[in-house]
Formats: sequence, C-alpha cells, structure tokens
Amino acid sequence: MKAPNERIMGPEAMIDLSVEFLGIQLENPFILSAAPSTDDLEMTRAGLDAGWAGAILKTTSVEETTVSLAYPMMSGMNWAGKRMVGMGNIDLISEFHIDEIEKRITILKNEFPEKLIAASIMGTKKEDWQSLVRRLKDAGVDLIECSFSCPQGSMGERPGAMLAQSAAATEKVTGWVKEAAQDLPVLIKITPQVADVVEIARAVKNGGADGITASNSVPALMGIDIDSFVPIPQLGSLSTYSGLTGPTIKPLTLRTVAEIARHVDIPISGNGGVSNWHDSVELLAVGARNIQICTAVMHYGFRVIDDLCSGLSNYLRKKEFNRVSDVFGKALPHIADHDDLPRRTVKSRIDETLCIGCGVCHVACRDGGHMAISMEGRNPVVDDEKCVGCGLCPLVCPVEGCIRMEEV
Amino acid sequence: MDSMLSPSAAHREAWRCLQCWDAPCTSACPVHIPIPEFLARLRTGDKTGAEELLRTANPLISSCGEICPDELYCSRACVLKDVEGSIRVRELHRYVTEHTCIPWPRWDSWRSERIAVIGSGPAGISCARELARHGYPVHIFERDPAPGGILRYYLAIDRFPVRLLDKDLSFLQGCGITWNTNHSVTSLKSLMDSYDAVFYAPGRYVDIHPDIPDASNLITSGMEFLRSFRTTQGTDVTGKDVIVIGGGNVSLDVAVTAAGAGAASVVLIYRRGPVEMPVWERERVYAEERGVRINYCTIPTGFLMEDDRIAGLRCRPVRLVENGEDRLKPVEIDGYDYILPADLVITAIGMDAERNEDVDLKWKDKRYLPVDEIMETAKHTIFAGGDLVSSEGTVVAAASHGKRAAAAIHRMFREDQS
Repeated sequence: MKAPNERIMGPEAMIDLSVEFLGIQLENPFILSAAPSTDDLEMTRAGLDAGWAGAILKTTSVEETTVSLAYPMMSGMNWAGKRMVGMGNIDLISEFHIDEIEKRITILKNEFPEKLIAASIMGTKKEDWQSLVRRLKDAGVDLIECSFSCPQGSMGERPGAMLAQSAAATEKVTGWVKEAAQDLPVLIKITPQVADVVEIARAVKNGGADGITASNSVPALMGIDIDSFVPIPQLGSLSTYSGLTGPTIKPLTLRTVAEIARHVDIPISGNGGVSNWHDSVELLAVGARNIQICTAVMHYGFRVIDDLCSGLSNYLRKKEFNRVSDVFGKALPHIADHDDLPRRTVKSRIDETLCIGCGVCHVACRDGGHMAISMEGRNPVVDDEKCVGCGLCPLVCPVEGCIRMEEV
Repeated sequence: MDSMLSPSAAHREAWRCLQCWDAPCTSACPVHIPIPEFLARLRTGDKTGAEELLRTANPLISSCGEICPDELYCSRACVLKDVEGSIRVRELHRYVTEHTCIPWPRWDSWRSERIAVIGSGPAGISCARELARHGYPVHIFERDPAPGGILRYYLAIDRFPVRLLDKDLSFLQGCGITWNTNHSVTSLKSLMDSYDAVFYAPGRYVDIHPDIPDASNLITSGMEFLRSFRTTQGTDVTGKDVIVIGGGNVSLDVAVTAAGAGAASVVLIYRRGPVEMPVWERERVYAEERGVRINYCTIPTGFLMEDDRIAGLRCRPVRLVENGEDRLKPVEIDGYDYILPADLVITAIGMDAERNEDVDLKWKDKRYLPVDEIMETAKHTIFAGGDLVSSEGTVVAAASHGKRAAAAIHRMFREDQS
C-alpha cells in the first residue's frame, strides 16, 4: 500500500505522516469514523485501499437489539449559496449485529494487517458490553470504541439521554468494558452536549479507558419547511432532532478537545467537523492525536484522503516539522481563561492601498461597533478616539489583510 | 442573448454582493434601482420583494433585463469589477423577472390634472407610469398600432423578444393610463389646450443619408429595414451581398438582422476605428460571431451600377488625425479606392428629429431638443425625453427621462396648489 503523496511526488518528497496511538502504529492520522462509510465490507475495503490509516466499523450491538431505522435520515444546512455547511442525520447504530461484525473484523484484519481495524459498540446491560468486547477481541480487533453518545435512540440511564451525559454512568460502564478488554485498547466516544465535558473526561479516565473520542455529532433541529411547518428531514408529517456534523461544528469540537487536553491527561482521538487538512492541523494543535472523519467522506468520497495527506505533508514541510506529533498540543499554551488575558490598547488600521472602497467596515462599525469608522468619499477613516479595538472591521472586510488590529 | 442563470447560480451570484454602504451601482443606474437591497432580497429567497423593487424603480425592467448595456452602468461601477469581476446585476434582473410575476395593484386616477404623453417608447411609458402612480389621468398618443416604440419595432429580432415588452406593459393596465394607438399628434398647440402638461417623446425617425450621389434613391433606410422584420416577413436579403453604412448600435442591429435573414455577406463600414466605434462591446462581439465583417476607417463615395441595379459600393479608406477636438478626424486617403460587391446598401448613420411642431420649442440643431435638468422644454408645461433629447440611446436612460419629467410635473402641480 503506497502512501498517497508518494504517487504524486515521488519518494524523495515523502514526509512521514505516521502517528502512534495507544501503541498502534498508523500510517497517517486519518481514520474513518464509525458511520455509514464503514457499515459495508466492500466500502470499508475501498476506503482503506484509498489510503485511510484505519476504520472504525459502524457501531454494533448484541443480536437481541432491535435497530429500526427511519428514512429519509439525512438533512443539510445550506448557507450563502453553499450546500451542506452542516449535515444532519437521524441514523441509528448498524443493522448488522456482532455476529456479522466479528466476521468482518477477521476478514479486514487479514487483508489489511498494517491498518487499524477497530469496532464501535453500544450496549445496555453489563453482560452485553462485556460479551461484545470479548467476541471482538477474539475476532482480532485492534481497538474498541464505545459509543456513549449517539444522540439518536440512545441507551443511557433515561430514555432520550446519552450515557456520556452522566459522569457516574460513564465511569461505571467504562469500568465494565475495560474489565473485559484487559490489554485491548478502549476508547470512549463522548458527546459535546454536556455542562462540563471535563467532568465526563475524568470519569472516562477513572473508569480505566485508554483514550477518549472527542466528540460526536451535536443534537440539533436541522430546519423547518415554512410551507408545511414540518422540520427536516421529513418523514411524512413528522420529523425529529438530528445529529449535526460537518464544517459548522468544527469550532465546537476544537473547544471540546482543548478543554479535555488542558485538564485531563488522556489520549484523545479527535472527531467532528474536520473537512480538510487545515481543520485537521487545528484539531491536532489543541490536543487530538489522530483525526476521525465521516461527513467529508459522505459528501466528497474516500478520495479526500489524498488532499488530507497532501495538505498535511506540505504544511509540515513548510513549517519544518519532522513528524505529525510535532503539532500535537501546539495551540494549548496559547489558550487561557478570560481573566488571565492581557489588557492591551489596539486600534483598527486600514491599508489604503488594498481598500476597494466598499464601506462594509463603516456600516458594521456604525451599526454594530462603536461608530468609529467614517467615510471620506470612498475611503474609510478610523477615529482613534472612538475605536475601542473590538476587531469587527477586519472580519467584515472582503479584502484579506486590508484591515489589521495594531497595538498602540 | 446569454443563457439564463440557474436558481443556484443566481443565489450564489447574489451572495457575492458586498452590500457597499453607498451602492455605486445604484448611483450609476439611470433609474437608480436599489441594487444592494434587490440582491439582499434575492439571496434570502424573497423573489417577490426583489421584483417589487425592480418594477417600482423601472417599469421596463423585463425589457432592460435582456438588453440593458450594464457595462455602461452598474457593472462599471461595481467595486468588485477589478477584484473578482462585477456582480452580474442585469442577469439577476433577468432571472427574477423571468421567473416571477408579482401581483401589481390596479387603481383609478384620483387627481384632476390631465397629462398627454406623446410617444409610447421607453421614455413615454416610464413617464406615464410614474404619473399614473401619483394619481393623474394619462393619455398616451402613439402613431404606431401598438405601444413600445423602438422596443417593439426597431430592434434585431434575436436580440430582443417582444414578449418582454408585453410583460412590462401588462403591469400598466388598469392604472389610469389611456392608450391611443394609431394616433399621430399633428398639433402640440391644441394638445396644450386640452391637457395640463405634455410629455413629448416621439423619438427621432428621419434617416440621415451618407453624402454620396443618388443616396436618397438607392439607399435603404436602416430603420425601415429593421421594422420590416417586426411588421412583415422582413426585407428579402436571401443570397444578397449587404453593406451597412454606420457605426452605432443600430447599424449592428441591421447587420445582425441581415446576417440572420440569409444574406450571402454582410459588411459594416465605419469611418473611424474600433476604439472610436460608439457601440456596446457585447453587441459588437455578438455581431462578429454572427459573421458580420466590419471595415473600419472606410467611407462610401458612390454606387457601382449594373442595369439600373446596385452592383457595388465604391469605398475609400481614411486615416484618423488629431485636430484638437474630442474625436479623431477622418482624412481621406487618395488612390486606394476599392469596390465592395453589394446588392443592398443600408444606411444606419443616425437619425434626425422631425421638428415640425406648431409650438416653438427653440430647436438648436437637427437632432436634439434642448431641455433643462427637469426635462422641461423652452415651453412651460411641455416636457421631453427619450432619443429626442439625448444621444445616450439606451432604454434605461429614456426611462430615467420619463421618471424625471414625471417628478417635475407632479411637483409643478403640487406647488401650484400650495
């Protein structure tokens, strides 16, 4: 199996993208997350062939579990002429039970001995969790991820609540799983939809898990058809809440991962809203050790792995980093509590040579800032007396680098 | 002429607008369409609101969506022009007006002052609509069988579908406008006796002939040629060599029409160069794509006759010299005369006004009637607009004359009362 960048640039240009995670060697940091793309043997093969470092098969459960899917299950959020800046799903766990998944694990592990072949599980009773773990272990799985956070059809303490919304339940069930797994690495996949994600991460660690997957889709109502007033996705005249994924949730994931990395010593697998190599670097920089991806694949296909590896390689080369792990946590020292931030005097500075005279900064400052930018003809002029340095104007300016906030 | 934007392409295009604080596009538009507001409504899915803004600002919006030379107006002013390309505002107008048909109010006029509008071209239509909106009863007098003027009778068939004009006109029914078609006004003076104000916009329709022997007998009028395709089967040019003498947009329309009607060849001769040619770039490119050849720096000197029929046009090259004026002066080059084969020679070098009014409007030249900034002529209560007063020659400019005159007429009556 050739690394994607080798195909294009030749071996001399190769950058080592490999990462180590829980004792497992990955050829690159990109893993297919437990989702539709890994719910079919043929598709999983295609993904691994395309260059993904591993796959976590879609969440399975014991044979007695009923999985009753409802269609259509997907919905999209469009914005400013761009489709699917957010994607919603009302999918459930796999319709394939453990008997099928253990077979697939064995097949895939034989075909792809160098790749990460992992399974995701969900159960209710202690016996279920533990039997799932034992059967997968016997099948040769490299790692087990426990879904404590599927927002739809959850199996937590209360109907409609997720397991990972209770620290006590999280710690208890983690303990059951780890007891059965013994030396097999265990990841707990949590939800961002909690009051204090650090508390949940501590419970995961205390329960004995090897790592944490942060995080998952965000509970959402994707939109309302204002003709029929039926929300999307529409199943006749009814709908329900979806799990929101895609570019729009990246900032939530960054915050979730950063919070855990800053306060709990536990390896993190990053998941949620990574669409390209740039997003992935950001997530690695706040403490993720690898990146799980689903929505970008569902939108653009397995081939996005080529762009991910190419972009990441070229970034590492440009920054003169030798390996992916050089990026790990690079942003964390730069995150502080608000009280600890420096108090500085900054002012808006507009580069006249770049300004195209649209006056959008003027309107934004006038109506949403501090009325500090006036127009003289087509030129915006900053009144330093009025400018408090809020930093709104460079955000609305359509020209990159035209407005900067400078310390005075 | 160009293909229609798809809904998603229109949506994305509308989202490119920066919503500039002072809207240079709106300032550049003769009828001041509030373009950022229009685009804001379009991109949030409020197509009805978008068309409302368009139709309020310009009663000929469907027509303008097709033929407005936006390169002279909004597109030239857009701050994105040199950054990533201007917003395609005209195409978005076209998209909106083609896909929607908003309900438009009907009303009876409620004011007493009566207004006569002479000519139902873009200027007349626009003035009538604005005055009707203010509640005045308006009588339009049109010498042709149907309203529209230039738009209905004198544009190249494949450049402008008349159904767009008819759509615009459908919004002007039942709002206090009386349409008198097939009605030539012979006396402005008597009209002034029956009406409180007159808007005079008959256009210019007297062909200017090139200064060559026998021109008035042998040459075909460009306007008559174009009109023949709107009112009948059109002048038969099948297999003929056609020469168009001109240089302006009308001459391009003539040439394109001849090419489309099966002429063996179409050559447009123009006395100056491509830079000086007063045409819209889009139209010229279109004509050349249709096989029209343009001979620049060429003037006609006479006809070549065979058996009382035209066989060719004698041409002479010119060179352009500075003579201290705005435009370069063509100076004939002797000794290089040549003959272009021709079966039909059409003139489209411009039109003069008729100037046969029975009221002294203080004409200064043959073409343009002097008006002040509110479009009033030398005669109080007679206002004028359209091609009669200006060389700008666009539908939207004529529409702006109508709007401006209507505003002035309204002001005149309201100030009278106060």
